Amino acid sequence: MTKLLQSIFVIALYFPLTLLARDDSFPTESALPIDWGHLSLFGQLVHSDELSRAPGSNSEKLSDASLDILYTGGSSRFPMLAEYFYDSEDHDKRLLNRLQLGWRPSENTTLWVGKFNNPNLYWHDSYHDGLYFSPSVTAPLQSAVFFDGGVTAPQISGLRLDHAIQYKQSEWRFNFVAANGPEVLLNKQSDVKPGDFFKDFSNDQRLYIAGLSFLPDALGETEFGVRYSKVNAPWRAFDFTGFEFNLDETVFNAYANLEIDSWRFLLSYSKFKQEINVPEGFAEFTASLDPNNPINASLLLAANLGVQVLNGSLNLRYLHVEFQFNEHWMAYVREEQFEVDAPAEAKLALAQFGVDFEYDKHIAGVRYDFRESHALSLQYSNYRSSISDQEQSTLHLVWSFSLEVGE
Amino acid sequence: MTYLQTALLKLCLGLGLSVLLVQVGVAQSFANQKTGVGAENKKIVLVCINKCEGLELGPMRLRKLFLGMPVKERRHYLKPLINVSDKQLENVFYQSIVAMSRKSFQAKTLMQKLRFAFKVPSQFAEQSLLLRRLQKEPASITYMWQHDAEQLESIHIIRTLWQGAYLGN
Repeated sequence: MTKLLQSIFVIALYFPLTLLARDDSFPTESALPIDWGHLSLFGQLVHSDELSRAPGSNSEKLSDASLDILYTGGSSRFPMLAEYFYDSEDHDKRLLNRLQLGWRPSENTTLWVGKFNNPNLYWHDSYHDGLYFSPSVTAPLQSAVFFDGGVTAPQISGLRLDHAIQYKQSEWRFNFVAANGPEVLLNKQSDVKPGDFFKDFSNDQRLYIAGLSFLPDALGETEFGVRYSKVNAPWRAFDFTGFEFNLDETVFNAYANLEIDSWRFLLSYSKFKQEINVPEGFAEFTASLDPNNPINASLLLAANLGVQVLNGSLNLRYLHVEFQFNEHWMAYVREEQFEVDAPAEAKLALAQFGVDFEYDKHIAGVRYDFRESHALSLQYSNYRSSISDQEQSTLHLVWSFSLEVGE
Repeated sequence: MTYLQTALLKLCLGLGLSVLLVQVGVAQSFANQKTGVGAENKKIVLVCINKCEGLELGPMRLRKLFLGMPVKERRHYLKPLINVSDKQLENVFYQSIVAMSRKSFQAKTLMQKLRFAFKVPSQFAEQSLLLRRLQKEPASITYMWQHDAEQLESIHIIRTLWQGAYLGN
């Protein structure tokens, strides 16, 4: 049975249960109409103007529209959530982002089964969806190759347990995840590009995450926390050679989201530690290849660089500061750094192939909220590669909104 | 000349006194409005239907409930119903129950829906619809003017949420 059929089967069993299950055993005087759930729309229209690019390339103007359709249903005891994302330009992004079926045995405990956002990084867990609520137009680490389709998968499928313990006004939150990663769609043998070797991790990855956070006010947004995750993923880049590589990755994320009056400070530090397990016999296999053949040369280079770069650690840190002037106006700035602990030669060689992932990024933006839930944002960002020293500046103009359907 | 000076002085004094009297009158009227003198002193009470007797909800849990977070009492998840049938009830809800602006409340509840699939509490602009829902869903909790609650047989008053002057809509 395919995964799609399995999903349909589970929902077909679960959905009627959520509709019929009542949150209480009170006798009702007359039956209430069935609550079929609610739809919410989160839209975004982005116009990006690349003000400056690397020498030799032309600046581009890009427009993109996206819509996030969120369905929430079920009951307090059996919540349900589904989310479909549509992007006008990027076909790969048009997908069912989340499909979560929950069981809430107590008000502070929820067990989720299904597909959900990877919670190994705070920003991604909190702001991936609902474009209208995102603190900035672009997310940290968005341009790093390891994130988009890499080992740090945006969505994962499995089990997630959320639990909270309240003490007076404060709250401790815990979460545990055991999951699998996303599916691989690329066929490496037919189209080998060095950049792809760092993206192609399969859905066979096994992922475990534990998170702990403290909120001084259980009903507020200020939060201090840590997350720790372990992934073991096959690296399918060289499957066509008959050798199976796999990668062990440990991610540690410490963060603080601090709200003081009109200010908000969001600090995060993440360390990714990776180790490639090279299969026995691969060294002998590469030694037997003719290096004058362009395909073999490409394979040798990619394998050599890939192993060097992936065996090491990566650090991401950022500080995001917001100031709310009034109900309508808000300004924000962010300083973001991404570093790779790898030999300088490997980083330089990769930069020549366009895999230029060590950077400093500065962003500054203003946001104007109007009507009930519409916002206009103008953001300037400057990206500078610390390997090649090339810079890129972009201006984003964004209209975002949220809309409740039928309410 | 002396006569002219005296007349001008009297005119100034008269004008000054009139301005003072007007100001005192305005201030008194404003103070009455604030303290409720002249307006009827009323209470807003937290209610449920009779089957919930003995239910106790502290300010923190009440806030949590009306923010749409799950609150379980005696094996039942409570359902908050927001009464916005008059302007003063709406103001008391934002100021005293959830303690945030209308915009912040909307953002908070929608964000929670997005992250945790928490339901956004239903709002009722008509009290008759609110009462009908309250009767149909025994685990639901709402608030209303005490004089309205006392006229309804099946309503149980949990506690007083707010006390002050009823200024009308």
